Amino acid sequence: MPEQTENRQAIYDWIMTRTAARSRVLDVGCGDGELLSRLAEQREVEACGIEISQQCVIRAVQRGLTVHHGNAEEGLFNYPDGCFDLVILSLAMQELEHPRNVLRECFRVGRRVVVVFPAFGHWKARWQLALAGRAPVTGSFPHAWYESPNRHYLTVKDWESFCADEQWRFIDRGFLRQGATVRRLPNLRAEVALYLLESTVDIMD
Amino acid sequence: MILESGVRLGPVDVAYEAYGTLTPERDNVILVCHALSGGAHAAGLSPGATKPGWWDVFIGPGKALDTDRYHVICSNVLGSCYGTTGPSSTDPTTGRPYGPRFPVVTVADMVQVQAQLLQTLGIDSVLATIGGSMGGMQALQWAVQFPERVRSVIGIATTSHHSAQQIAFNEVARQAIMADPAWKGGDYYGTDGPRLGLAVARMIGHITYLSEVGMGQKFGRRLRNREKFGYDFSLDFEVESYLRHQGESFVGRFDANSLLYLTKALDYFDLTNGGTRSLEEAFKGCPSRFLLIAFSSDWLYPSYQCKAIAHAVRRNHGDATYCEIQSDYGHDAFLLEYEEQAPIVASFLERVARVRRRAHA
Repeated sequence: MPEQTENRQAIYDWIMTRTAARSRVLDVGCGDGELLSRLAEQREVEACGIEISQQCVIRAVQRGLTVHHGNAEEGLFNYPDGCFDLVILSLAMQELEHPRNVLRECFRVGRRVVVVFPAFGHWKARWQLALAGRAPVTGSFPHAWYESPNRHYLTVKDWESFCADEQWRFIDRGFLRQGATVRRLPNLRAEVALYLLESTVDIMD
Repeated sequence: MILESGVRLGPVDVAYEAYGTLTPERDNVILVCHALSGGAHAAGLSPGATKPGWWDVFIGPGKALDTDRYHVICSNVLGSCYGTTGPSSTDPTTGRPYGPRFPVVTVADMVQVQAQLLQTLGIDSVLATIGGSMGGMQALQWAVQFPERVRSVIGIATTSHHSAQQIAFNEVARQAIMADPAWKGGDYYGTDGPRLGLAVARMIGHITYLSEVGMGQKFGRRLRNREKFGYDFSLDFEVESYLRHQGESFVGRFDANSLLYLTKALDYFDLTNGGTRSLEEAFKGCPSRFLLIAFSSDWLYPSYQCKAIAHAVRRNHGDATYCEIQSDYGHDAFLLEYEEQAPIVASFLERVARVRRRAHA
């Protein structure tokens, strides 16, 4: 996961204020459970996480969380339909092999979904590619091409047109840059994009 | 008692040990279930003994099963040979050991005996049932058999049902014993008994307890007390020496008939009742929290078996934490990988105890 040190608190706060008290929350790629344990403490949510790293799983269990150690690309298939009020996919989507499959699973098991991703349309990335002719290395994309965990690079525009295709409606969205909210020209200026979504189609076909 | 098979058995003796103090509310009990060759002596040193109980690393003050907080009980299973009634016990109707006349018992029967023990001790419900391997099966069986009496279940390196491969290894072990003429149809008490057969059975067991990588690291192709091959059948390799030693030392401490009965109980174990219900149905209405721990190199009880249990619990909207620990120790890892397991088990129990206290308040 990109570190997002500057934006981390703002991301947590953004999600926190959009999480209903005492709801059931699944964090896909929960890391060491920092966000989930905060939600459990401050929102009294019933918190579950999926995490691929053994050390992170142990830390998350030590925080008193329910965790599944495994790959999100295969791990959502056993949660029943609609069993979570909120599913969080924070700074994980861009590392997945099949993000569309996992997202569809998120909408199957959750009534609402929060997606947070590093925005590739940021002007620094554009600048480095267009003018310097180099693969961008920025705050949100801190890794050189040969060691990046990221598999997918998307912009705010890419995401919104994809959501429209999938018939996912955003209830709310937010954009961050150096820990502060971005209001104007988000596709150009945001380092991180945050969306609270719900599906507009009945998935129980 | 009436066994799952319908056969009546009794009276039944139960050997158990307990560590830590029982709260006045009797709400801090952890039931430890042992594996195939274990016994009630799970922790501490017996008088005159040099080796502590089989799970001493886990049980004690400040350890994962913290005896400063929890009352930990471990009893020897039905059919074993460490104090609880089994085939080597005296049949009250004949005054001689049961031998082959001992009825076949199941994991459900073991749990029934444990439940009666707890009832005798005045304990209505437990904070957790915990065990590895066969112990994990008992821990899971508790959740299905007495769902209201189990706050949580910790299953380690275990399964919801024995697979064909698991049955196969057990059958080879049983055949090794029964092929030994000294087994005498199971009526060998008072004689040496099937020492060779039991030793071979244990050697097979130990192969399945180690991983290929672990065996390679531990023994490789190293020779035992010789520089070159002996070109005979005495003893060449370290791994042969290890297996022979394990086999021989087991003969001195375990009853061959108990191994037959306990492996049979394992083979019969199937929470889906022969596929007549799904695993999900088996756990339906079970309010327990589950913790399942598997080990990457355990090929006897592969991690997907534990994972399937966690999935089944979740499909019931239940609470299941699953962790697969990287280890080269194979199935033995559940006894050896303390550093990785301890924080998970301790934190899980702490949470169960905390929720329990809140419910009380």
